[in-house]
Amino acid sequence: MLITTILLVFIPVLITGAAASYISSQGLRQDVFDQLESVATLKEAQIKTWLESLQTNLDLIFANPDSLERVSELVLNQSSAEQAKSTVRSELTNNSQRSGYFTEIFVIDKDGQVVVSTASGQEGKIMTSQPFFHEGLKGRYITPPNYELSLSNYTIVISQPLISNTGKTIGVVAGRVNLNTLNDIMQQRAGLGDTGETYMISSNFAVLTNLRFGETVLGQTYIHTDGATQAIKNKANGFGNYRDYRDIAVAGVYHWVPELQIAVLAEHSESEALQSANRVLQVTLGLVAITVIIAGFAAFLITQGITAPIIKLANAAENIARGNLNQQVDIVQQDEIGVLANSFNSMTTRLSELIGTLEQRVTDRTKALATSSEVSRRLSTILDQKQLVTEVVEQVKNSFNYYHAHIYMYDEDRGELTMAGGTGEAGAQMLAQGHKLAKGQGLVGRAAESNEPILVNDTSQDPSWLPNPLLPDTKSEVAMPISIGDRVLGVLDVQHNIVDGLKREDVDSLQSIVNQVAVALQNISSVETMAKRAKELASVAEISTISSREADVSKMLENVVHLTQRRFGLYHAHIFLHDEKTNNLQIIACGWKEGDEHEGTHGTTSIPVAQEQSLVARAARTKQAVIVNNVHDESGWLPNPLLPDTASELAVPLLVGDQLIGVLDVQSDRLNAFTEEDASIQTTLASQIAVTVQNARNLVQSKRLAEREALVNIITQKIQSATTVEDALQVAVRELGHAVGMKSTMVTLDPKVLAGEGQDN
Amino acid sequence: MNKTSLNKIGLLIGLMAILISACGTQPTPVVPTDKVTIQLSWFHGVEYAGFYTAVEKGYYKEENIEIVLNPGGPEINPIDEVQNDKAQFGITSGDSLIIAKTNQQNFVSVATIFRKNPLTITSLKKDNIQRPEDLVGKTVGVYSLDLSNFFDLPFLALLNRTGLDRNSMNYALIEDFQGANEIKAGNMDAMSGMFATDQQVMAQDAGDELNFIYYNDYGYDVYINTIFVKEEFIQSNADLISRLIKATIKGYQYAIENPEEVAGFAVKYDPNLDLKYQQSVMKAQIPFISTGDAPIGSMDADVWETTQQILLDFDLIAAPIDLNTIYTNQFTSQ
Repeated sequence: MLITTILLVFIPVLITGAAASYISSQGLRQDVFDQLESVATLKEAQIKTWLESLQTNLDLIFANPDSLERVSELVLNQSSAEQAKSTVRSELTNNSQRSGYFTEIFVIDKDGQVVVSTASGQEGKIMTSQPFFHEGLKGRYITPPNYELSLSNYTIVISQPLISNTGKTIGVVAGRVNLNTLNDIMQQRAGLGDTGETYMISSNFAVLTNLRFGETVLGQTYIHTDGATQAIKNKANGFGNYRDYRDIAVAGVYHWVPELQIAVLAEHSESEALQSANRVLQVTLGLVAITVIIAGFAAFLITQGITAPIIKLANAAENIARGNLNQQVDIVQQDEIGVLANSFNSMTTRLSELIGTLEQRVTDRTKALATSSEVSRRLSTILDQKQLVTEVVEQVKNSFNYYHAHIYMYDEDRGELTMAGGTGEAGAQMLAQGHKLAKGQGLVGRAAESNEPILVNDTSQDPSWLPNPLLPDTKSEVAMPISIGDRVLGVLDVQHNIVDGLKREDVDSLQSIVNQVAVALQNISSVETMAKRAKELASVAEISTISSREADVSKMLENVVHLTQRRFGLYHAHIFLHDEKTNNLQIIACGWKEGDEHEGTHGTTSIPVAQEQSLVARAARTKQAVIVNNVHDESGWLPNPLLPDTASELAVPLLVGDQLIGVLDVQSDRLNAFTEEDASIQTTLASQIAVTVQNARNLVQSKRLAEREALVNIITQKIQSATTVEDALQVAVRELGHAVGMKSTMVTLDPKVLAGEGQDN
Repeated sequence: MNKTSLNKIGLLIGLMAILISACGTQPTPVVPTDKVTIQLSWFHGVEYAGFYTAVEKGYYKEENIEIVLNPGGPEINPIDEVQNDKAQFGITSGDSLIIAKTNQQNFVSVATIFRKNPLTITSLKKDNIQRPEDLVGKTVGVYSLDLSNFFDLPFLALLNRTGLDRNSMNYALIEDFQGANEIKAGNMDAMSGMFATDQQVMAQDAGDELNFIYYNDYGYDVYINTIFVKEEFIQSNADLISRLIKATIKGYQYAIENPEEVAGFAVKYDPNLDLKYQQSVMKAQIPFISTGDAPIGSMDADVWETTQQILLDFDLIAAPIDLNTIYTNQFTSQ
């Protein structure tokens, strides 16, 4: 009977425990896959955005109609001089160095021959059997990474038709890139933990990017794991548990990227993923052991009993053994049996509580995991921060029946937290008020500061807790930092109207949710940054195309600064032109904020290039972009009374080759508004503007030269028609005086010259 | 339960036992192994590593195929061997197949070993000959001084494509094909028609650094070692071809991933081969087999078009043939 009792208690407890461990490990597995899925989705998005930027850059190469004209002549007229070729080549080289995207830019004529290339050794090669040639004639084309023999490296070629100013396809323009950028994308390991990694393989199983735990030799390292094989065979996305290239069990998610015919793999070692599952298992086993010991002890006591109460107890014990844990015996005795009955009763109560909480824990954990999976499944597809925040707070509040949930986003530069969304009326009101908290202020501020969850089980017992009049019923609260590594992105704050309504278990469940939210926020910001870059590059293309249509330089520059200010959402943009004689920079065009009373004017500011403090002068002197991300920290920075809100400034020189044409200066009313990337984009724009200004100037100069020559001709003719030297001199002084706008002109003749050389002429 | 029903159950169990044991001993029908002979284009060497590997690793066995590999040589024309049914599969260059077709010999290429043409003009790095123009005024080593040898066709095609005058350079006959010996002896500045794969290794062994002008880059695109069969053979043996190519490509995939190991397989076929040399050549030819952008063994229409155009340009064929009849990717894209 002793053994039966122990067994019958042991078995249900064991089953419940096993179920709990199983469910939690399944949930954790799902968590890992969800996280890997988000990472793979992000990588794929990054690759695609990069490819789009490459295409935009390719568009930009001949955005200027003059360059297009020059290359068209070269392509159509093969025999043209080496001079013309080298002009186009250096134009392409500048372009390629500036954008930094391509390792080679080249142009192929309709017969498939490379006419000009930034790598002159490639010129003359015949590309007729290359897909990037014949597909490039028809439209945009991207080659999969493939091994280029003469370069001994894997490269990707992007090509598109070269369309002349008259709208005819006259060849192909192509850019070659190596795999460095793809490698960089794969090496970013946000959300991948200590053992996670992402890498890329080609359709021939060759590893194309660096492995975290092994060496990659391009063309010599191959991977045939289940994940790799599935991705390449099915050319589709998927996931699974398999052994990786080190023969270590991993959870893996693979994405097929059809544009490049490659697979992206995101993998995470199973042991790390299941560490927490093992903890659950250990706790469960501990509980099982304690329960069995108690049950065993109780059963031992029971079997020690004699006579009727003992039989009663035995019956009760048997009931317990059947699983009826609510069994109580009504023996009211003052002797040992009574004590025994009492302790039996309290034992059953304890037993039933233990098993009850175990069941409750399983239910809670299952629900938490389901919610966490549900949240993360939805998160990986949301690419809008507002929508993400709304979804998260609603899901969290509703799934766990909390009183309230809201999210604050953390602004590192300002050190403050801004309300980004919350549930219910209170959430909407706080959002409308633009509720802000300083780092360290309140629970949310403390969580952001410490990057640790802050839990208050009973708000009435915490003297430092600050009540919020909009949420009068809050009795417990937890603030969860949303962070990736050390970087805090925001805080999820959850409140409950029950004392102890939020406990350690809630923190655990919420932790896996905020982890997912962190990755999703990171995804959103990466995708947004890249989308912004792509848009900005498109704006550069648009501005240069529009500007090249305007022949008048000042009008053209007015257009440029106006469009630059609008398209890039700047506070102000202006251009200075360099005067070579005085070595000053003269303001020529200002782009003001929409509705500004000064729109259309530009003042008369003139800055000597030598001036020490001026950022504009500094950009002109160094011929490099100058970024100042907080003008108030810059000693000697000169404020402009018309631009009181300038917070950061970026000045880039307008250069043609090495010649300084002027400076483009843009300003923002935000601190830290400009990055190196912005500088590179504005430099691209600046070089387009510089070339246009230079072209316009050349045009004016050649017109002037022509006019002068015509005038000289007329005067010469008139002089020649004179019959005597005197007449000739008369005509000469009159016409010259007229031409140069003088009131009186005098000619003195040296009689010796007149006598000698004058007769010869 | 009474005794009769117990007996019945006993009987039933007995019957089932007999039935099961009968199933077990039933002999499965034996499919006879396909026996196939393959005529190589040249002597045994690691160029054919995929075939050796498929034998060694049992890939042909998995496909129920047994193969015999006949080495080639200067006296053996794989086209004749297949035409006369001495072999079912042969290896030769794509241009030979087009020419054969115009002579009413109908073959179809079913896969290629090298996806890229390894033929080069080789010179010493220090001479800085990087482009065809750099050859002007130099002495080029060729197979026949009047460029009439079939192996000089790539050079003629290159002159044609780049518009260089054949009289703008001098010619010398290549007699020593070992590495850059002829160049170092001062007989010539460059050698035409060398394989980047072997040449590179021989030169490296001799401590020389080479420059290559790839014919591939100047419009001479030819598959130099395609696997071919008779046209009528495809109709009746599509499944066999499919299995054989599948196993062979699997062999090449293994070979590029394990170049040192498979060089050893080649040596088993010809013990006179130098293992180290074969290993080096195997490594050098990886990028020609696996290009990264298309499956191993598959072929591109443009290359066949270019090949045919060159034959037309030099009057080696009178009229174009339908290229869809000369090659197929149906077996490599499985």
